[in-house]
Amino acid sequence: MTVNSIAYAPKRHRASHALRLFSSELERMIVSPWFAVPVVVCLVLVALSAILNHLSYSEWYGYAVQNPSKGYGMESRLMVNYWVGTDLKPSSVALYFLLPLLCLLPGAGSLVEERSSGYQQHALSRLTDRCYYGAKAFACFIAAGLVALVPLAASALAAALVAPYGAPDPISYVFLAVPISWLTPFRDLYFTQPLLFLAVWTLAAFLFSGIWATALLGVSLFVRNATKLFLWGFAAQLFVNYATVALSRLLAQDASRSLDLFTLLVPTGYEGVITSLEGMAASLVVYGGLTLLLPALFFKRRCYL
Amino acid sequence: MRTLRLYARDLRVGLPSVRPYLVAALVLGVVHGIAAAGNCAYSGNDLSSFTFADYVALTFQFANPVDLWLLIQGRPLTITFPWFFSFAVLFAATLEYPRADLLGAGYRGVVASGSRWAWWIAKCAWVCTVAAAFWVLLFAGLILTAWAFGAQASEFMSEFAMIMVPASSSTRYPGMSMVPLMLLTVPICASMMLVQLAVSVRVERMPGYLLCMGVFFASGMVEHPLLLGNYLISGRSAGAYVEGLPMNDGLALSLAVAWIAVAVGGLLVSRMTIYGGSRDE
Repeated sequence: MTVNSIAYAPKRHRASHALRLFSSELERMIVSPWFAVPVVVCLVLVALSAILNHLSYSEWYGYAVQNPSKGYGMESRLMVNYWVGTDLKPSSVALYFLLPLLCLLPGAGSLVEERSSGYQQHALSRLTDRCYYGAKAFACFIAAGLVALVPLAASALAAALVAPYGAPDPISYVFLAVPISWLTPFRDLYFTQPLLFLAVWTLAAFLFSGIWATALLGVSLFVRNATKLFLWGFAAQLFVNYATVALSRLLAQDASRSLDLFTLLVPTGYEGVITSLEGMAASLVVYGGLTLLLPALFFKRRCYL
Repeated sequence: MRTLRLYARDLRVGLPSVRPYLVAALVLGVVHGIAAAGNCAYSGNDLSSFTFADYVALTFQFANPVDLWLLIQGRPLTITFPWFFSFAVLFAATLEYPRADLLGAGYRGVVASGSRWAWWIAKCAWVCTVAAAFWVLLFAGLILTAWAFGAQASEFMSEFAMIMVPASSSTRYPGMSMVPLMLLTVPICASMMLVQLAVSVRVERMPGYLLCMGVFFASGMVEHPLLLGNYLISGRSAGAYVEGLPMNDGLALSLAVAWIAVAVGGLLVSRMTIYGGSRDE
């Protein structure tokens, strides 16, 4: 028995041990190229979208200045339309397409690496299972969420540089083809509190990216190679999109309830499919279930035997 | 005789490594069937008016080839990922075993048989067998699902599915068969898997896998008779559309690719230096 074992420490010390463990795990995930590279890739895509948005806005602004009587719908060309989730630029589409893969890189493969390097054996001789896995899962959730949060927040700032803030006119938005459907969750906020709309969708991306990475951390108990985990995880998202859209079409003749991250993270949807609040809730249950059940059932068997 | 014994050993020893993929083939067939039924229901027509061939055509559909002009104009690039699923799973099925066998227990088989060519030919035959078993199971799952949804037992496409499948060909005649496309799946995939086998044994597994998936990705994006994947897209199939790519060309091309892969791969394997479980170039 080790003297410093958390399992045998007084109760009041356990919380501080757990907090230190969590901060140590988070630091290892964030201060690493596996966090820096996906964030930089996302920021590059955000910057590309911002440049394209600036060119587009300048062009319309020029037309509006030359012909003030026509207006060119400038009353609806506002900041909220030049955010990556609403601008529909190719780089924005690429960002949301890659996000389910990029958010896995900081932490989802850490269990596989620590098992193969032998670090896990040393850690488990000093910590309880729950403490070790809990700290890792929470750090993984935060790190993956930040991969989504940082570029989306940066994009909101870039959008504020491109166009003025304001609420889009519900009458003119139809003619400008604003990509908000009747089915888009939180669509009311788009017309009343645009900044809150951006904040809600940014936090949704943070939440779903984090929970998806944590679910994959649970699945990694059965995997020996982190690269395979990432690639199969990404393929699984495409498959979930395919299967849930197929079932929605068959059972409800409705294609709005996909559970994949490509659709969940972005208000404009993916491949013509838009998510719904029911789809979001079901996704939370499915991915949250994987996050909690897999380690609860299989951690001892996969990490000790 | 040596080759046959090695082949029998491969069937016996290699089966556990491909068993999950064969189960996945059956599951994929069922999922493809459900997706096709979903598309049929979404089109607003009665499910009983569709045929087995329609289900096959909808499973092997792909978006139209990429148009650079439209891309420049800002139209998004459309990639039909479900079309890739079956090939991605099939190519992964034979990725591990041959190389692990050559660098592991199979090394003793090579020594005992006294011929590297026998070992290589047996592996090629095993790969072709896996390809055939995979497609038989996938089509079994697909057709059983179609039958469960009340599809008509016919090899000919209906006019409803003709409209739903994206095709660059303008001439569409209902009543053309999907059997040629189904029959071509085995030789085309087997030929590409033989290329993957040669690369994975001589170089590494992932480059071989990426090469084959790259060829199929290029096939989806560009319509060209030399890109083998084109023959497995229902919207570009001469079995379904008059102006589609001829099936005989696909068969001849796949046989040529297979022959080159077996010959070149065999030469490479026969010249490799193998030291009891590890390899030294």
